[in-house]
Amino acid sequence: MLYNRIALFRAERGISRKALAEAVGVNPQTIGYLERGDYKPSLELAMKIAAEFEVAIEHLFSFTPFEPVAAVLRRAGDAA
Amino acid sequence: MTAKPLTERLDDIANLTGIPALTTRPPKRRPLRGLALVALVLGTVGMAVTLFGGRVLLIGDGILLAGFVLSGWLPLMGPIKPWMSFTERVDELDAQIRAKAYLTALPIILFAAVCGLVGLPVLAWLQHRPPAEMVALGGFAAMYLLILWNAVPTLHASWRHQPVEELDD
Repeated sequence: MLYNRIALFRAERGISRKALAEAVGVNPQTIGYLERGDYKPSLELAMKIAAEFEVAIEHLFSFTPFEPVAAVLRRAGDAA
Repeated sequence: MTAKPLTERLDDIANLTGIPALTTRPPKRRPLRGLALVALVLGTVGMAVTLFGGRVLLIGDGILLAGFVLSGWLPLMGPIKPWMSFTERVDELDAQIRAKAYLTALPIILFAAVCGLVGLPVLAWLQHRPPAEMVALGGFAAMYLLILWNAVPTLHASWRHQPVEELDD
């Protein structure tokens, strides 16, 4: 099972599925399937998406579920 | 008013069908589960009816032909994109959907072909069918294989992959 945070990064940067799809050279449907977890991208596509968001690939894809944003923010708030 | 040359008139007739317009823009692809299923059922029923021979041969042929005509639309508007397209982008997901659909369909088509290759001569030998009828049955079997070629991959692709909402969030 491959988890990803593409939807989160898209929302953060205000990029539509169509815009991301155009940027990485795939159809918008493919981005939708990726976000839903119904499709595992090739290494090339995964790296293109990571490069588009200017993050390391492991920040975008993982074999273990990503920690919820709320938990991260709560922990950061507690530490501050 | 000058008369149009014959070639222009023929072009106008072709344009009236709307089919040339399909090549100028990417087709809107749909799952087409229902159409593929109907084509497959008609093809199977038609093929089964033709095997009885005699008076029902042409009835079976008609049903088979209806299935064949319907199945012709599946590659044009179904979920599987062609190997080479000038109007639509075929990305890695489309290629994977297509590959898995045909990998599933080819053994089924092979099985049907072998059944026909073995079954039709056995049928001719056991029932002493006229040669003309057996030649016709061979043609119907080929048509049935073409229906399988169009319908089975479409069914696989449409059931395996639920369509994603096209509206962006």
